Amino acid sequence: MKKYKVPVVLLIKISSLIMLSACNLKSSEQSNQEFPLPLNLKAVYWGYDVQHPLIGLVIEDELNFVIIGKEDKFLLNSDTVEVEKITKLGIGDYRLLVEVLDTKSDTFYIECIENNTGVTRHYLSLIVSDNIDMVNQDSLNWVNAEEIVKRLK
Amino acid sequence: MEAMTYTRTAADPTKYLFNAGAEKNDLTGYYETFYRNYDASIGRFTGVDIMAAKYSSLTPYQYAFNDHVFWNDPLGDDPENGCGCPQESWDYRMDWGGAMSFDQMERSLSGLFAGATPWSINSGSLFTRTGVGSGNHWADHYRSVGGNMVTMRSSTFNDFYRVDHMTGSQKARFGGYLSQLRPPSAEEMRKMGYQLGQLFGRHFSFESGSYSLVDVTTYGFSLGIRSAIRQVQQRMTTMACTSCVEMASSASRSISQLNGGIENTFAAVVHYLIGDGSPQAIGAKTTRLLMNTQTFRNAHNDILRGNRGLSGRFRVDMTDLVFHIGRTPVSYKANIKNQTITYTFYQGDGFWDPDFMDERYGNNSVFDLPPEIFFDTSKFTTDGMGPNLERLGGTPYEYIPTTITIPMTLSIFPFR
Repeated sequence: MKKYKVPVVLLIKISSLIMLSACNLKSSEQSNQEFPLPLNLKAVYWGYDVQHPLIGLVIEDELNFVIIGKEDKFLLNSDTVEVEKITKLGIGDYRLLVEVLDTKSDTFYIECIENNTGVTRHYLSLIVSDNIDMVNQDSLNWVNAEEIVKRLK
Repeated sequence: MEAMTYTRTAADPTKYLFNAGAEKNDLTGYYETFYRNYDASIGRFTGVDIMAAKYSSLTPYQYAFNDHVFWNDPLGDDPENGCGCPQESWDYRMDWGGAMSFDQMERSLSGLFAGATPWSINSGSLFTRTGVGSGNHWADHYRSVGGNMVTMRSSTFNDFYRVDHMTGSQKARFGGYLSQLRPPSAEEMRKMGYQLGQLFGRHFSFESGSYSLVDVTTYGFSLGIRSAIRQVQQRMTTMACTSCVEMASSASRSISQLNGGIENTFAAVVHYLIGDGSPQAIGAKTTRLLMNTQTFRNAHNDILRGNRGLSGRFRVDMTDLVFHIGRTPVSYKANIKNQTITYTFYQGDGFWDPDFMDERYGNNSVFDLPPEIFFDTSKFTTDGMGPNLERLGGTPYEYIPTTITIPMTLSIFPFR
């Protein structure tokens, strides 16, 4: 029995090295795993390495708090809507418009602007709307979420 | 209909009696807030609330939930409490609205420490740009000079009353007025010291002797009120920076009940290679590492400061520290009633996909060529549980979430 012990330990150690090599590759990849957005926000892909079931693309703030992401709930017309997927981002100089698909496959929009109302202490204000015509779309560059995911993956 | 009204007669009538900001329109007799007009004679808004859908059980014309004492609605959209907090987190903060005379100091201080949280002191909600005591908060305009003297920093107080712009005689008159204010009695000071002591006592008992206990009488009797508050503020700043140390020891205690758990990558790989795929707990050492990352510290302090909602999630990247954790989600839930924050670590995380590289690139095109040319893409579906082309034929497994509850160090249930 003892004669098998050394090869087994050796095998495990070699396996660990292989794993760690994968880890190094992974970490070098992760350096560009953030897509910068206005208002100190960033788009980050929460893959299986973060969580299962998959979360996908989320909008995070500078402290890595999820501002908009799958499973987040928002109040819209006295109803609660749950985010299923971010589909599009409208990027402005000082604001961000996020097109979101909810769990009922309806589209709604969340506008992130700087909070200067003093009502809350967070630096962001989120305005939820289901009508794109109600949102000022001037000077917004629209980017598909899939393109961002492709870059982040 | 003519409602019962009271008209103040003054030689120089002011049009800014509503929340020290909204102007009264002499023509209509209404105060014009940002969103709607307010009829002071009936205590109602004249227009429909833009947030009516949110408060469907109330009339859309109501002002401040029909509770003018506690709630305030300076803009006419969404009532807030005395501290200017939104509804969701109003109970995070204290209520220090309304007029307050110096004689009511004991009551107000009691309100402060009954309702204030250490982090609100720590983060300076009393002293922030828009918070109570900032000189910009609506309640500051209604508080007496004595109350503001206690609430505000010296510089804010001077700015607020434009002390630096006063002429010599004005300063003398103002100083004379201040000198007439009754200083707090020994009994009031004792009560305040008790409140402070409770604040510290609770906090320090949690530390289990890591810090020395504060001598209550030192704070209650020897120091002035303002300096006592400042001492608390400084103390709490230190507390916020070192809170992770105490949390880590708390984590250690909690996790020790789980019989160790996976502590290093070697153990994680061993379980992957020879384990049966059963869920595994993560060891205390790893959790301590996580809780001491700068990301977690910053997030925790931000939650304590009341900058966040009552629940949420964030991401901690431990790739450089612990391979088997990598990027992991952390969710939190604040319980105001129990004054605790509960963190859940590793929820949904696991060692189930070390071959994500293969799976990822197997499912993506290379040089814009269809991936089918290189791989059988059906085999390279990124998986959850169970072996799926995992390197070395191991069995992936999930991590058992670790839940840690940390006191907010808030001593008393918020004042309502």
